[in-house]
Amino acid sequence: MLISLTLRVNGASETLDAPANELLIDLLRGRLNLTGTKEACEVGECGSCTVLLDGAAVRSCLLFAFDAAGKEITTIEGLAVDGRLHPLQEAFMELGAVQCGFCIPGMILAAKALLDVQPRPTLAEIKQHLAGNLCRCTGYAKIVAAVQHAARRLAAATRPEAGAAAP
Amino acid sequence: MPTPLAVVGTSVVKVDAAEKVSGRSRYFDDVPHRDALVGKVLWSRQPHARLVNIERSRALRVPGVKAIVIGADLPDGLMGPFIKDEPILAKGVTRFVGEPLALVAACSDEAAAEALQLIEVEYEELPAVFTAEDALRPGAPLLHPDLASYVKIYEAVQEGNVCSHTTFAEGDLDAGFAEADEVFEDTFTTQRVHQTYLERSGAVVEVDAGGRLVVWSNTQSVHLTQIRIAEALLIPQSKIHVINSRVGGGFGGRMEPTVQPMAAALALKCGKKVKLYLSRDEEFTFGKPRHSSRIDIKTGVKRDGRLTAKQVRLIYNTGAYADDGPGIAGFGAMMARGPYNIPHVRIDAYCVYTNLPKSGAFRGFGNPQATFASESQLDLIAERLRLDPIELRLRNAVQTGDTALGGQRYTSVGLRRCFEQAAARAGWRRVSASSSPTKRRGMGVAAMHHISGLLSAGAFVKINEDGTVGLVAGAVDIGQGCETVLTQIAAEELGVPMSDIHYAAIDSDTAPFNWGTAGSRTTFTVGNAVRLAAGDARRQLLALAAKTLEVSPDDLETVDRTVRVKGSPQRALSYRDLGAISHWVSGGPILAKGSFIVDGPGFDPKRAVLRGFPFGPLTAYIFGVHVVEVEVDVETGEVKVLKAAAAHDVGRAINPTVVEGQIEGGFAQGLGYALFEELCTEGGQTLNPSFIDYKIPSILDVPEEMTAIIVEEEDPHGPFGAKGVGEPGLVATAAAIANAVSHALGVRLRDLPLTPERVLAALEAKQGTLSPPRAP
Amino acid sequence: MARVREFQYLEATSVEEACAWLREYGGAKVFAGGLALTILMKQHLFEPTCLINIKTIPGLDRIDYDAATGLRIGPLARHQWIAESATIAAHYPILAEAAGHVASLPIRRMGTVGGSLSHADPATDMAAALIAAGARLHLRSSDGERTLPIEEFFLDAHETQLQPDELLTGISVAAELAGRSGAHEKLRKNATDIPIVAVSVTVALQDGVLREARIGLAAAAPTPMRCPAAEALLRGAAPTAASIAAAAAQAAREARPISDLRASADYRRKMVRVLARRALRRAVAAAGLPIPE
Ligand SMILES: Cc1cc2nc3c(=O)[nH]c(=O)nc-3n(C[C@H](O)[C@H](O)[C@H](O)COP(=O)(O)OP(=O)(O)OC[C@H]3O[C@@H](n4cnc5c(N)ncnc54)[C@H](O)[C@@H]3O)c2cc1C
Ligand code: FES
Ligand code: FES
Repeated sequence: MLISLTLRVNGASETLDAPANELLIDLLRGRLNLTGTKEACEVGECGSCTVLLDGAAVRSCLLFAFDAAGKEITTIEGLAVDGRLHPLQEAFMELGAVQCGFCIPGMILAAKALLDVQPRPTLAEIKQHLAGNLCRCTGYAKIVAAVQHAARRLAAATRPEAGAAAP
Repeated sequence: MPTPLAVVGTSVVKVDAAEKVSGRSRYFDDVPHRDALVGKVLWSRQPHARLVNIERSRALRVPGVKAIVIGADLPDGLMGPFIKDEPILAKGVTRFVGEPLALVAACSDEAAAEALQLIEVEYEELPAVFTAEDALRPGAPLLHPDLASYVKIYEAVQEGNVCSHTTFAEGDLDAGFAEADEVFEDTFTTQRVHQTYLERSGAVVEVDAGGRLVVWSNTQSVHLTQIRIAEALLIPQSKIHVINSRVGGGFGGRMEPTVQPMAAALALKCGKKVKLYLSRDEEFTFGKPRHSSRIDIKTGVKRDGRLTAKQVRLIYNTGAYADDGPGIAGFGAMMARGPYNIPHVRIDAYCVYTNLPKSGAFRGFGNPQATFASESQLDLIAERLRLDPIELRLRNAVQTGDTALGGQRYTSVGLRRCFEQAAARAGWRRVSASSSPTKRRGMGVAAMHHISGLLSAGAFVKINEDGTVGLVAGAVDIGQGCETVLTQIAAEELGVPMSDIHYAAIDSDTAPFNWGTAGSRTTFTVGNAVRLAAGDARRQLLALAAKTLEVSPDDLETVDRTVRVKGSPQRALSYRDLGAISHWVSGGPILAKGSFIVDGPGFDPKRAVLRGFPFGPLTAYIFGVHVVEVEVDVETGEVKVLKAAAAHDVGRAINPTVVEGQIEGGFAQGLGYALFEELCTEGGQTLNPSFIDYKIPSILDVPEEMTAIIVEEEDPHGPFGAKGVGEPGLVATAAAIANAVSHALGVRLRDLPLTPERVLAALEAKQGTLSPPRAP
Repeated sequence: MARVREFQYLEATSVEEACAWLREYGGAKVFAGGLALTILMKQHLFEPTCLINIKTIPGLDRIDYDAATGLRIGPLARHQWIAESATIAAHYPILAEAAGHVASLPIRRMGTVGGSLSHADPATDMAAALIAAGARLHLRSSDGERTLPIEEFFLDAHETQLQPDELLTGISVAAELAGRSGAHEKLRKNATDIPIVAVSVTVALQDGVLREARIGLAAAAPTPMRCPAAEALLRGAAPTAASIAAAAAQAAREARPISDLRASADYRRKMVRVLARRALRRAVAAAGLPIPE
């Protein structure tokens, strides 16, 4: 059974027919070649498959494509603007928060979901927001530091109107 | 302090970081092989059974099914790193639940899945053993009755279900115990834990037009994959071409091949490209967890804390096939003395077959178990002797020039500095305290040693036509950062910026042999090869410049990618010039190489009895000390690690940030090992093959305060003094946590993991009551 | 490449329509947040032939409070909304606290409370909390609506009162149960795990005595459960260390824990006692009567 869907992916509108039983992650990876979204645990526990759905971090491994109809999806490929990496991406690089990298797209997107609504997060908020994203390599210390660093950088660069999305 | 260098010693951004943060890295499943058939595996449901018949005729009739392979179809080759005991598919007998019995290749997932359902396996059950203890009993069912006839790469000592027995012995044990004022005897156990790298394992295999097997996969060593496929399918290694994708973690679990030999067998059978990609539950059941162990230690000590004798028996349950087990148990034996001078020692390590899924390499390679047991016992000794645990350890700690077990010399020992710095940073104190009516805090310490010089490695450096550099080292970056670190070493030696160097993708056709990313060996072992190759390239550049400028090489100096005549800087040739000259005018393309092998100093047969040890010399000892503070809930038994300081002597940190990352990541894995990770089985069946029930630490589980401390005791043989750090971050963690818990509670826990239930039971046993301690 | 067996997919626009379809299409399953169902379908453990998406029904995700009629939570309310709702925090704080204990943020945002109750895992935080809060569930079929106290909803692990053609349409908590302080205590393996054991309590204090206490347990029996005997011990009692300890011990006796990978039955029973005591003390303290150690 095919369902006709319109969704926005990284700012571009996509209209396609999706089988009802197609998972969002398979649509993104298999059909839109957005392979930055990873599937590790397959059961919602690890967060590697995180994408933003209307700005909120969700598990694309447990989401059927039909549930994304009409929504705005952001994947890791959508973060850079005009080839310039997002400050979170830069901070993850610079602070050495990347090891094997498999968790990193999901981790960065989960952090973005936080910074978009809370540009000055406390340590506790950062941990709460990243608690659903598992990393087996880093022990998280540098990930926390990178998010804090990016937040500071964003705050420094932010003009008053930006970063003030509704909580 | 080491002398500062240009690139080495700086925390440059990792060379693969940009592609990883932008989601552009190509891991195994990110490269579409849309023309590949879907491969699937039929796994054994019996822990030990004769395979009477495998009937595949119904399955073959499923539309879309292209081929089904069973063991009987395959040549008689057996594979394994130390003992060749493992077939690709079980033949005649199956030895564990989850052993591959048959392979299906089909046009779709659905067809392959349906075919699996229709393969009928007739089993005739055999008695099975699951614990090493049972497997060692006289009359226990034998896993491998033909053990004696298997090919081994070393002089293995074997008997019954013991596939490898390693002995290290020095001095006179009886005299050592007689000399002691106190003798301690304790037993410790550890559980099976899974590497749980986030990327699952997969392989795509195709037979190319020339009849060679092309294997795309995610492995820690393209060469070991090549070798295993060759020995199992009885084809020459030159007929196998292994290409690596990016690898989403490994931690030892991908040292030996996973699915590649199966995919190769299927591709050969159907003549088509086949893809096999494990699901997470398959990964957990077929994966190769760290060996469970039982460790008995007897230690003699003088009243002043000097250790006089130590006898250890390590029993490692390796499951149905040896895999890396003999190396792991043997290495565990070598590490079991600990970084302490003890004159009289005997260590026996037994690697034992059982009907569990096979175990394999996992960060620490047999050392975490031995260290947990030894360092736990040292705290028992300190307590009895009323010595500070750090003081006891320092009284026995090795120093540069001392002799390691087996007779090798320690060439650089930063252990004392590790103790001092970890203790200072964590605020070491010996008062345990109640932090609330139901919580108690305690501090624990544990030290460890490990090696980083192991086996051989090679590297090529080529100077491109434009003077940039290709570095071909064959060492797989599984996240630990070797692409960056090896590039730094080459850049330093060649005097070029890192951006001029490209680290070649890993391909068995071009890369020099590399045993694998394992054993904390890459920086030291491959780093030495890279440094030699880069030095060779530099010499060739100088020689070409000398010839072109018609001067002696001794009159030349290199400055900023330019070779010039000392004293007359206008007479100069840039690397770009030299690249072009070599390609088009004279000399020919510059190809430089470095080959390195750890071949001395060896063990000393006059000093030590050494039997059944499957490695040659090992070198470049590394050291680490962990100090942790925990808080234990005395009513629930929950343990929270509040604080950790981990100091590691890494020789020289080529890239300090990368080193810290290894320590922090290793610590977190060690925390999971200490507190809650456990792969459980019942009747040989894995019970928790999922992230739902197999938990790894989240960001909320790691300590709020985690300090990685780098101690640099340069090694004379390391590249720029560097040693290694890949595994040590994990090795001492469980012991440090267990010691802290024991310190907080005044009871000793001897079995990992320290689940709340176990902690509570230990407390209750101490109090001799079944009610919670402080019920108001 | 499809990894989930094909199914028919329907989007309901009203409760009536969903109920009619449930009756019409045998083997149809209600699809809410989809977390629990999708995991089962991916693992081929459960393969419904038809999914009826109820997220397309307007209004089922509302959280409404009225001082006269109390709280009404739509089945599609997400855990995180409950955790963040100022209204709930003000009037039924136990629900906000427990919702914040569920898994991790993305799961709390995706998973519905209705789905979590209907899935009826014994280790469900919100089930324990809603039992402690005194919630009633509203079930609808084409034949009409019935309501029942939540503790009667659960029959066995993954078995509930829901008939195949029934929809859980709402969760309500009476107005007179508002304002009770509560506490949710949860023991878990790692920080984002389901409960090894969880205990939820609410207390109503009057003139220094406990007018009523309610105790709900998760992962302490084959279903989420209430502890009537322990509650009875507290009714009319002064909230002292002794009375609370006795009630906690009674709750532990009432529990019917099983042994599994996370813990033994014996340990779980002990933990019911410890957590019940802690939860009761904390709830009483939150009500303004801290109990000295
Ligand atoms: C990674 C992870 C961690 C978790 N951790 C926790 C935890 O810590 N604590 C905890 O309590 N839970 C936990 N859960 C469980 C989680 O809360 C539930 O899976 C989720 O809330 C289910 O809601 P859903 O909307 O996704 O249900 P769905 O999957 O949509 O539905 C579940 C079941 O309920 C039925 N159903 C749904 N809505 C209705 C309705 N209105 N009427 C009738 N039937 C209905 C469906 O047919 C299906 O059978 C966890 C889940 C995951 C994936
Ligand atoms: S792959 Fe989706 S949460 Fe792990
Ligand atoms: S970097 Fe490897 S899992 Fe996070």
